[in-house]
Amino acid sequence: MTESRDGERESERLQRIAQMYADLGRQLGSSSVVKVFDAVAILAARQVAGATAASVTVLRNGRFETVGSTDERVRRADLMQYEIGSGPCVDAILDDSVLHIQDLRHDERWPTYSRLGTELGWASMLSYRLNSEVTGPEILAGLNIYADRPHAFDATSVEIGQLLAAHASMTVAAQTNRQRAENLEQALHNSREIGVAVGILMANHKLTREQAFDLLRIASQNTNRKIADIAVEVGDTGVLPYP
Amino acid sequence: MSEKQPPPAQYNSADPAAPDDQPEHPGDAVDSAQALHIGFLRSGMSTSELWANYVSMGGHLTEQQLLDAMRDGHEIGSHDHDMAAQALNEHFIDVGLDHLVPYYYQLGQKRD
Repeated sequence: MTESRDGERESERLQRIAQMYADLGRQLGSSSVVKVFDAVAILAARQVAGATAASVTVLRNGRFETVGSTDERVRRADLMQYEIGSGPCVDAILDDSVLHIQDLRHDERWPTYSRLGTELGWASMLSYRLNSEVTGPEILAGLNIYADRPHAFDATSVEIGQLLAAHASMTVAAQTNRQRAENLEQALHNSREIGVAVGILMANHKLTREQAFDLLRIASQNTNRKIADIAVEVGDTGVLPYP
Repeated sequence: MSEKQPPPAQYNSADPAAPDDQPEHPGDAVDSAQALHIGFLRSGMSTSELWANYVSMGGHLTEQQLLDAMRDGHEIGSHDHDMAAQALNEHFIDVGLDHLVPYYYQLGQKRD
């Protein structure tokens, strides 16, 4: 009977995990690029037993930033840690670790953040660094899960959080790749216009490629317009616009 | 137990720009690589976004070459500098700022 109950519990747990992945896939499929990190945070808060709120932190170009969260209170807790320069959000990413704070009031690892985080009403935390081999070299990211009571997270919570973090790594990677593709698509379009304009200026004024680009750059500086926009005008009219 | 040491200043969210020994404004940079690097850090652009814009202007460096040049202080030549500077400055224009990154001929000149 005991084995049967254990088996049922395990089966329920696995179903929950499968449902979580299905939910995440649906959320991500319908979310804009901007909202996808919010979707990860919302799902973490919903699926990890004991969780009150969650956030996603990225470290990019030397700056920590919360890119997704369930609410403002958790954003403030994240920001405190960025300003102090330490805390589970920061250290999980920098140390590539999983951090579990059972009771923030009595945790000696981050005395400053412990005091400030407790004042905000937080009592337990889980922080995971997302797999950087998946997310790519450009950004490091972390998933942070908060609770407003101590000892909120058990071993299962930690495990579920790890699974979510693994999925979130792929989410970050997908978002990064999507953004990269969009950037390249725009660059391809602009490149053609700029190339045509450079060619026209080279032919009309007997200039080198670099000199022709300089004319476009100067026109951009003088008019505060982008080079691609000026290039379109050169292509349309055959001449450089004057301010 | 003492609190963990905070990470190096470059990770301070209040000032994500260059390490302590570098100027804050790209216009005060001493050379091409420094000007581009500071401008890049201040812009908040992703590497791929900067590189895509640079390539759209005719640049031929790979993304890694461009990033390495900025970080390691390698000179990339006046034309490549101006294309990368233009890519950064167009981003600054988008966010309501002026041309922060000096072009090659402006390097070393005092700001007004």
